[in-house]
Amino acid sequence: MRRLTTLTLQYYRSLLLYNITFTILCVFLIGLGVGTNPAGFFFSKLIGFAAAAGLHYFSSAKTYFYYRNAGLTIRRLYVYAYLIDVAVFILSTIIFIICRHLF
Amino acid sequence: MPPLILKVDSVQLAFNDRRILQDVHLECRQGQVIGLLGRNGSGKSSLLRIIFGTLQASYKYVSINGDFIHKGYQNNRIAYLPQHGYLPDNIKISKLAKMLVDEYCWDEFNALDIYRQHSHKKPGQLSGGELRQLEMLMIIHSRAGFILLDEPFTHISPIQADEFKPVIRACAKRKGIIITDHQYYNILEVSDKVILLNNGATKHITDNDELITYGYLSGK
Repeated sequence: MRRLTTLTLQYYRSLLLYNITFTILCVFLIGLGVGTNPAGFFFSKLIGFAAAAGLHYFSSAKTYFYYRNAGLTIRRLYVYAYLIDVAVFILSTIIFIICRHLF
Repeated sequence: MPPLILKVDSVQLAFNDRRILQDVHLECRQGQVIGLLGRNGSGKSSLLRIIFGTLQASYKYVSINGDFIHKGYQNNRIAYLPQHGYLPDNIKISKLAKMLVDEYCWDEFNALDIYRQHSHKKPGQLSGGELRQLEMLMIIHSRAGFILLDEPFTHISPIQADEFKPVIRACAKRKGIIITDHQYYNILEVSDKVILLNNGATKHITDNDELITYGYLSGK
């Protein structure tokens, strides 16, 4: 389990730059009241994650052999990384909403 | 525990109606090194990727001890050294190695000079040859019971190639290895059995002169 977590975080880390860009964009859209329903919330994040993963695939597909040699399928890696991404997204949205109410 | 046997049978692969592989049969048992030779474009790398599970064949039967294997890499059954670098650039070698190297081989791996010298660095900070050596050593010391090495001697110096041959032989005591490279003399030296891929089919070589007969070597 620990190994799986480390591998997922290593992959997620390689997506970080793309993800920050898409997450900030989504957080602002929600903050501005564009997509306040939960379905829209997760759908926008899924699109953002897919875009980040797609960009990563085109720039670093060779590194997938590392994860495969560690015994992981890429589909599984995407699912776990997406779950981490949603958790980070929810946390950052909550922080953004709290800050907006405070200041 | 008896050695496991990897069987590859009836592999068929075609690109745009051009048949690459059509009559492929090979067997590798743990404790054995199988050398795979063939001309450029004969399908050596494609065959290794089909066994590993990253290339879809028109038809294939790959099994370990009779159990059909769809994706060889799942559950660490088969590891593969691709021709190109495969390590992510932004993570330290030590962290990458801990994910790939078998815990039972860790002390042996950790004692390697090249690992001790570069463990604190990231792949992007190493030369091509140093990185290739580390990538190969991580695969050899991985958890997998079978190892596929695609051109391991490329990008490394002859003296380093000589140092690797005993490492491969030592690894073969507990794993099955399929190895391919254009440096055929290294393959002949390190292998227990040699298979030539010719016109999409496997030819089991029993005498090195057959490599001339099948047109792989010129014989001059």
